[in-house]
Amino acid sequence: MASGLIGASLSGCAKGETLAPLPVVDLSPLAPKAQTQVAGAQAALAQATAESAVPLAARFGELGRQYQAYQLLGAAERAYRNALALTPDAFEWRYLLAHTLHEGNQNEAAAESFDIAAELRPREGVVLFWSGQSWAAAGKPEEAKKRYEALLKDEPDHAAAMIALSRILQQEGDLPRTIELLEKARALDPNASEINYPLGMAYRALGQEEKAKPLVAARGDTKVKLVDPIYVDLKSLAEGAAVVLQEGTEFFEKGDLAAAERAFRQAIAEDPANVTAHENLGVALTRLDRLEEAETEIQKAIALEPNRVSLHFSLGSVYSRMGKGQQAIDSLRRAVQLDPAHAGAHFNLANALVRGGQPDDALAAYQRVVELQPNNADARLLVGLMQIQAGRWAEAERIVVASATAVPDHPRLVEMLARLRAACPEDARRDGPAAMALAKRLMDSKSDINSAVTQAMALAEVGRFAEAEALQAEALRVALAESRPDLEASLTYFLDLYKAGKPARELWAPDDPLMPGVQ
Amino acid sequence: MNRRSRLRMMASLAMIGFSPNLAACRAGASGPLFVDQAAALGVDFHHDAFLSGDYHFMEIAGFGCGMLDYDGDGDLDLWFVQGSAAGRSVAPSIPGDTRPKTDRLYKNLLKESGKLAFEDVTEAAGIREDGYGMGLAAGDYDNDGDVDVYVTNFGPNALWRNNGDGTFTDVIEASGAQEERWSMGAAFLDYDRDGWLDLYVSNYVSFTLSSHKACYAPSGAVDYCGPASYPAYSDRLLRNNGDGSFSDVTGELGIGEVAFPGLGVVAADFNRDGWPDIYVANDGTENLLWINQEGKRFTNQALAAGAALDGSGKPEASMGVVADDLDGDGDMEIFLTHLTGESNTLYIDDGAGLYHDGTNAAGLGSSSLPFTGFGVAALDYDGDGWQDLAIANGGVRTVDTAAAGQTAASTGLEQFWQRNQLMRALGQGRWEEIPAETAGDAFTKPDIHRGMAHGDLDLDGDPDLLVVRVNGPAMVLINQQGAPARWLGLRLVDTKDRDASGALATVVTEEGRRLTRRAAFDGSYLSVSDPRLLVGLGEDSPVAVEVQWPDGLHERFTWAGRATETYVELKEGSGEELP
Repeated sequence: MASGLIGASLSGCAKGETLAPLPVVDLSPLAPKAQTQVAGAQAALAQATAESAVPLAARFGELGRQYQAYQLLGAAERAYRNALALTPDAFEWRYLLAHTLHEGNQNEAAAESFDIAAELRPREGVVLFWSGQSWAAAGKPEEAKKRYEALLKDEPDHAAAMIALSRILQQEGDLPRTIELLEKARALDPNASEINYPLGMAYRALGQEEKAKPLVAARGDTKVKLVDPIYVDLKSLAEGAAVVLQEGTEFFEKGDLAAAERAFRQAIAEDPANVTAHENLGVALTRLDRLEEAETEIQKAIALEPNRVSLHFSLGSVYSRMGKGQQAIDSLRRAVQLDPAHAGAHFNLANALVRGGQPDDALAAYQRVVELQPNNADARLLVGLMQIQAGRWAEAERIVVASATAVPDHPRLVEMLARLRAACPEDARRDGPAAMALAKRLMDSKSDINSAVTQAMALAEVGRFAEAEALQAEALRVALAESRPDLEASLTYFLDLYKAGKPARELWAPDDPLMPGVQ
Repeated sequence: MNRRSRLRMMASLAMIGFSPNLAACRAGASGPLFVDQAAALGVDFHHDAFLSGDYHFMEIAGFGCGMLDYDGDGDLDLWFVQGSAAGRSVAPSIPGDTRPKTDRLYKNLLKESGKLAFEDVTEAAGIREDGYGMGLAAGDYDNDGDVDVYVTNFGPNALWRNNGDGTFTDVIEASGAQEERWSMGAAFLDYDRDGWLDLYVSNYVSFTLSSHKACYAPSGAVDYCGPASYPAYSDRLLRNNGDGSFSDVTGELGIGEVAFPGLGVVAADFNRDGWPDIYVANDGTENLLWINQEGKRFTNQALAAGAALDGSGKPEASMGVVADDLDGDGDMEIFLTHLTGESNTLYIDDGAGLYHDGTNAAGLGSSSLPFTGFGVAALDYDGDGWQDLAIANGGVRTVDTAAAGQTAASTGLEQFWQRNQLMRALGQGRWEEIPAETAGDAFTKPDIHRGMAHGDLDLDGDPDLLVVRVNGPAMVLINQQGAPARWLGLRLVDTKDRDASGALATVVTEEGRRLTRRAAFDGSYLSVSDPRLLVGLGEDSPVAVEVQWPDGLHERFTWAGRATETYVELKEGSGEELP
């Protein structure tokens, strides 16, 4: 490539500098569109032998941008250096060279390059910011500090500079100033975790735990906005399926499903054989409730890669939502066959089997989930429920007790155990005082209709029918006030028992909407 | 740092001012500090990753190595973890080696012959470990006086019971310690203080060959996936029943409440309440600090303690881990190795159970940015009494090579090559990188380094290193410094006659220094190191050794009449009890 220029000494070069040969870059690992894009910039440079310094520098610079966008940092550095040999005062190439060096962790060289760029454009605050970042990364915090302080003098509301400076001050032990800066930054951008967490740690170091706690809890990876148009433009150069796919994933995670769909479709256009793009599009369409389109995309992905577990798992979810029970079961069985340790697939398979009227198989699948994820309260709850529904009381008791021990704070497990102790038809399983204690614990943690019904059941079991009746009546009143007429029949069912001085001998009323179940 | 710690540190600093720089005076100071003598010593282990060309995740994620005295003769033997086809139609990557692909055990012949040399005794020892190997944990779980080995695999794990006659038997099925999910780190600890070693296993992610998917570098090229590409597994805690079997107490004790991609594990009493806690380095997510609630439950207090995230509140890709008194103030720092661009992290212990990210102030930040760190060892290579750090580096993504300043010209394994680092402690909680050329070839030549173990292989009073490489030969790095004028080797033995892994020993010297070290098999990256302590004293002399035993007992052993410049055994219960 560009053979006419490699190693040539041009009259346009500053201070007698020569152009360095550019490395031969193997583009074959790049995505097809990226290859075309970079090859275009290479060709443009190859055709530029007769040009004068400025446009030639622009072609080197453009090639540098392409290389940098695809993380070919060594080649990008050479291209930028040639651009600067031709036009030493070109801010853009100097600035991007500095970024290239910073990305390659050549931080001291990056910092020096940012400093030269800052001299070229003294009013460009972001250059000082990156200079500070590079000096800090090079292990020279005192140099970094000077840049951040200079930047804050010009732009007192530069939140990113405040955060960066505060990090140095915190390391120096200057906690009051650290806090002052971070509080100021927080006023500008209250949601940035990169402010909240270090602020919390600074308060904690001063012993102010109450202030520290919520700030430390607000951890994450949310950064303050940094205005850096040249660098953003460069990053937007990178195309190809992988890059678009990544963007789509980010949109999906943020909940912007329409943008995610567009990105995934673009990725497929770039690379029709990209299994992940088809899969992700299928998942996004499922979320958008466009189930037939989702099925089509996931089937395309399966045709490309038949043994990818996640595809069968996703297809199973689509079929479940479409009401195609047997197809859901088949897909999920395939998923667990491919990956016997996939707890999510076992769980969804169990749900599909329940809906398909295969309780024994469902029970085995839920039990497998519990083996894989001992703290999966939902699976434990459903294992217990299935034993209760089958009237296997001893087994139900064993499982519910073990589950309430393993996941002690899960209200629905506590509720199930309390009801078992209060209303189990087998006398040996009931224990009124234990039911009372559990119901009280439940009520203390969550005061709702479920808890009230459970406590009423326990009260009836210890013979306190009047209190049971009053509590059950109150639950009924609340249900109706909360527009839950669907609960009226089941609440009345138990209320009538207590009025007649009878304890409950069923854990839930017939067709009780409060009974836990498969969603 | 609390007031008492600060006073201790000031006192020790005052003394340091009078100590000559002994490292520079000793023999070998002009040559490389470490020399790889694997071939000359008879260590011909060559790791085989069984590369498929499909970028299967486990090919790049492993693996550890071990230094342990399996035959109890007083010198350190070597255990290497090996790859396998793992059910794929993949031929071995290393041609010419016709031996079965299994973990390999090399016996140290030093005690028998008086000369450091190793002999491959894998077959004689009955070891046939053909899983796709990841890591090791060591401990005498059956209290029979010899060290047993737990091997984590991509696939079912193994428990190799030491038969005490130079052979091992895999008892995983009968033991109930089976784990079929992808496991990485593991550590033995007696969490309930019943005298039997329990086992913590860190699990990684739900990648399987059938769930394999293509991941891409920013360039669009196919690359290895990261942990975020697959759901994480929860870790597992197994209680030793005292009859050779284990019970799964993961759910009961709260360990199953979270699921993060776990790698390095250390067990130590972080909050100094006399009960061993557990720290887990997680890949790309918050780290875990499981605080032991007197053997009845564990609660994760990493976030509250300030040891979950970096200083800006960001989770990092934690790989290897060391827990030890790194800044010399008597409490326990945590050092973690990380992905390229993240810097390694040093959590400074303030002496009251709280940590802060002190990486940059310690000089450990910028030098680590270009590298992806895995194995790590805290060792006093120059015998000056301050703990230095050796770090094994190697990339996991193609882009890391570019970031490390190398050109990714190849599409082969060279894309992941990085060089190792040796960080010399300057005292006062600061380190500087030793120039790679000074440290030796093992620190200049890039490769895909992973596990690292440390111990005194030649019993000469200075620490040596073992480093393993993906698809490459193992390195046995012999320290060329020579021992300092005064040194102390300590073997801490508990009431069950086992190495007291997790014990803290503080050597009190005539000059008033207090040198604290943690005895441990665990730590680094999926590796096992010598739990014996090697304490360089310069020209100072020991007055006493104070030991905080894992079961909570605190004892003092006065040194009058005891030897130095050799290894000394301290038995729990034979010292003077301290409050």
